[in-house]
Amino acid sequence: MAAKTCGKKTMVSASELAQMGACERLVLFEAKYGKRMSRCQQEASERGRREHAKFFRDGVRSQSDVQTSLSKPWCFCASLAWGPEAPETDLLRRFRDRILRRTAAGRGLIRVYYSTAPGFCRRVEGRRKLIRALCLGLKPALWIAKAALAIQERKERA
Amino acid sequence: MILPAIAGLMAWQMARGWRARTSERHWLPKELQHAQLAFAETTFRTWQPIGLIARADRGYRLKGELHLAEFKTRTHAVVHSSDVIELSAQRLVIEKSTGERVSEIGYVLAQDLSGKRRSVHKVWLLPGADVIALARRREAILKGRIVPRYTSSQGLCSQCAYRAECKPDLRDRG
Repeated sequence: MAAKTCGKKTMVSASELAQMGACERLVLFEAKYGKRMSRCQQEASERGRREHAKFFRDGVRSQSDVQTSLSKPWCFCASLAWGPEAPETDLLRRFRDRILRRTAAGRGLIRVYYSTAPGFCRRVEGRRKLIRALCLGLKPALWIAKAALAIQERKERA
Repeated sequence: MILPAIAGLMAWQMARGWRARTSERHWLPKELQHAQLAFAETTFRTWQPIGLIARADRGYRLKGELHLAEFKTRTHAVVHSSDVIELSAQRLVIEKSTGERVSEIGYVLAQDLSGKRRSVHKVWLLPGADVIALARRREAILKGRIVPRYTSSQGLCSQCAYRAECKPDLRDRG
């Protein structure tokens, strides 16, 4: 996380500050010559990033309503079937946020979905026949979502 | 044919999710067993008392207080002073930006390189004043007002990419 500036003030990140505990000269050299890493450090950094991502996924799997700044791996199946920005995906997202999230049973369903969908999608990815079957399988979910949202909107208008 | 296969895959994934939850409980320290995971990989910012930005790995809420946990991949399961500084800076920025109380005890979760062993280390975090003082010292070093100290870690020094500029041998000569 790089330092940012606002007017004359500079924002320092916690990890930059933590470097002071490792080596003060390193702090100066990085600012003077730019960030440089030995091969060994690059490997360690890459390994750390990978394990961090796993750690994050475990956290999200264990509790779906957790707050995060990273994009949560939501709507996997719909994104795979129609694309992340497709109207069908958007419809299912709205169904999740407006209908499912409001009840305990809905939240439970979301939790089950988040724990199963990412791995499932990783396996289906790139297999056209399976994706087509997924599209067909998701159709009933789309109809239910569409009907539920229409009822909800009618209720809100009334 | 496809549907049973999909059902089978989903059941397998559900088992994986269950395993993830139980593995979470496995490494969590005793004090946090009943805590709720409040945030993961979340960025916080504040401009007061200093401009500070931090991305916290994990924050657990227990009895109205947040407890921070930092994840590290290490050859040896040890805690460095940089971990304590990082968690302390996170504590300061979270308290200032959200107004929530953050515990003065933080947790460093060290994972070995194989990814199979994890150990949790409890650390006492620095007070906010010490974090601010450290940020001011850093600023003074960058502006050339203070001469930066050499590290005491031989391992860090031997792997450093700035050895040519740093000339650590000169320090050894006194």
